[in-house]
Amino acid sequence: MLRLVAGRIVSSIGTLLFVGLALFALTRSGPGSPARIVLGADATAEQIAQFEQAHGLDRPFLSQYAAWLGDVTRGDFGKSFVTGRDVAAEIVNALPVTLAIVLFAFLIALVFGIGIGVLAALKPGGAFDRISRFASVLGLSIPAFWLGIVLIRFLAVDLRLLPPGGYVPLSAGLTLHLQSILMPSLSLAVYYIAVLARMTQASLQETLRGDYVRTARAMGLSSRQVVFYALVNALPPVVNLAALSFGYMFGWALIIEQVFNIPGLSRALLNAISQRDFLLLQGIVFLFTAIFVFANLGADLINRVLDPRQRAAA
Amino acid sequence: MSPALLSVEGLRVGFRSADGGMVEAVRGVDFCVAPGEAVGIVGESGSGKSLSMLAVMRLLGAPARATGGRVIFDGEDLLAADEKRMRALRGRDIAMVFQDPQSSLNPALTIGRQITDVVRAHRDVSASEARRIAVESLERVGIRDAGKRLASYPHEFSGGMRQRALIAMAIACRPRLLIADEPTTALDVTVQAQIVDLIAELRRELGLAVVFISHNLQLVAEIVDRVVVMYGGKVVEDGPVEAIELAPRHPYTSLLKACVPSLSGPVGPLTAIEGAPPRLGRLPTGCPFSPRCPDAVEPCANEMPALVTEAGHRTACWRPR
Repeated sequence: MLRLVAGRIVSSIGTLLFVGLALFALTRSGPGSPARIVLGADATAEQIAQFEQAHGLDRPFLSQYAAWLGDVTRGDFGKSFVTGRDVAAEIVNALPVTLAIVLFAFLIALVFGIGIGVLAALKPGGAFDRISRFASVLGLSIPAFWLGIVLIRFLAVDLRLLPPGGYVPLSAGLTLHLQSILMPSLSLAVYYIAVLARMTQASLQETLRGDYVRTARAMGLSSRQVVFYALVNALPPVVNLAALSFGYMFGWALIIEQVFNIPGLSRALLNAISQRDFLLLQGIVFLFTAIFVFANLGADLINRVLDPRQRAAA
Repeated sequence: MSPALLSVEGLRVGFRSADGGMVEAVRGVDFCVAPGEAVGIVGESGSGKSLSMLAVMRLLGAPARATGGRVIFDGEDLLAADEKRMRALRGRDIAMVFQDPQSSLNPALTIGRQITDVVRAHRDVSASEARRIAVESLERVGIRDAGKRLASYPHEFSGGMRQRALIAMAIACRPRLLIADEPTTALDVTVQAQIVDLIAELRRELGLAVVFISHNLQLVAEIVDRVVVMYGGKVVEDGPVEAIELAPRHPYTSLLKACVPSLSGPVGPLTAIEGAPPRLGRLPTGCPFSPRCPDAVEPCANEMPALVTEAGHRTACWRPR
């Protein structure tokens, strides 16, 4: 088991290295040198060459990548050419805000997604099943940013229940903190509630038809236990989907942060893109990739616990 | 004769078909099982044998449901019992094991967990007592090192061992009736015989009544007292195993017997029954077997013969052999 886990971690790191390389190539293949943007349109060719030399931009591509990678392993993401600020410090500054919103949204999506899915699967074709199907289609088709705007309009402007935007850190009090992230997290979660509910419902309905469920009923187990028997087997695909969702949520969180005027990673990332701030851009995207890869690794490990056959195989 | 433990009377099972009509798959089935008696129910796929027993357990899944008749178990009509009462009876008084041991155990839980769950569903015992009962049940079905095997998962068991584990679950609470629905069909031939022997042995030791569903007349004949032959959703013959073996009266039963080659007799060509089993909803008004019956005469296709009892042997045929 331990060797298995170690193997998966090594292969995850391999994925990260590859993605890092692709990322490095992509940021550098875009038009415009950061030197031109920092120094302005009037800079002479000599000035630009000097800037590029000073920041190592004139070195061969692979040598730049190797140097960057070496620094990253030490937790050093470099200093921005544009602002001169430390990239790691900038990320560490903004990440907790984005993380708070995504984690809260993920929690909402898990609880409601799986809960609704289970209830819908218990009575296929029942009223709850039909309502949840309709609601899922709605949840899947409503864009998160639009939902955010609607929520602001009703909950903040009309009813004055919640603040319309901004972010209050946890250190300022739990209630205020939750109030500030409730609407953003909810807007972010709705799509994933729908996705997870559909997956849970389909998967559980399938396993409820299984022969071992009939055995459990033939042995007189309670309905709660019968559903538990089926659910253990229904969860692996839901866990995989939840891990993917967790990764995607970081992407959508950037848009949600804009809607709610929240000082998370979105601002840093948008600035990095518009200013060709390669190092900051790389740092943030690399972080998102790492989150994605490790979320999937986590899902694999959870599924190994849920399904003993996976433990035996591979 | 002692009063029946299980008495099925005029049982009907129907499906709601796509066009809204009802298609009947079990069309008025009667038979009894005495306490401690072993009864074989024999018939081809689609004869209604499994559906009848699922109806007895009240485990028919939509769209099938029992549409008529009574199922009297120990004086109580199960078709009228509520779900809570059925839950209490299942596993404790009547248990059922199914065809495919591969898929009938929960792949995610240990064998021990699955047996102790059954014990604790019916008896208010401690975890360690439930464990003790589980070990005892596994030993009784012939699983060696039962204490260690509790921690195994189904995929670590062979097909035969899984069926043994399922039987251990079924007998853990000492039911009075064990229904075995083709328990050997998915197994190797050598293992089949072991499972049949095991069921016979459990029946002797625990005084279980057994209903053994099979399409193989020869196989059930080894362990049952009585055979009920079903065809087209009806009982066509029901009699003591010796009578069915030596002198079957219904042409279907004798043809069914002829289908299985004898190990001791001369090797001849295998016989098959001409034609295919009837399709539900396209059954003749008369005897369901009449279109394939070599002995069929004028009234056979038009009028269903009644089950006639003669010396404890019932036959529904216009021209019994």
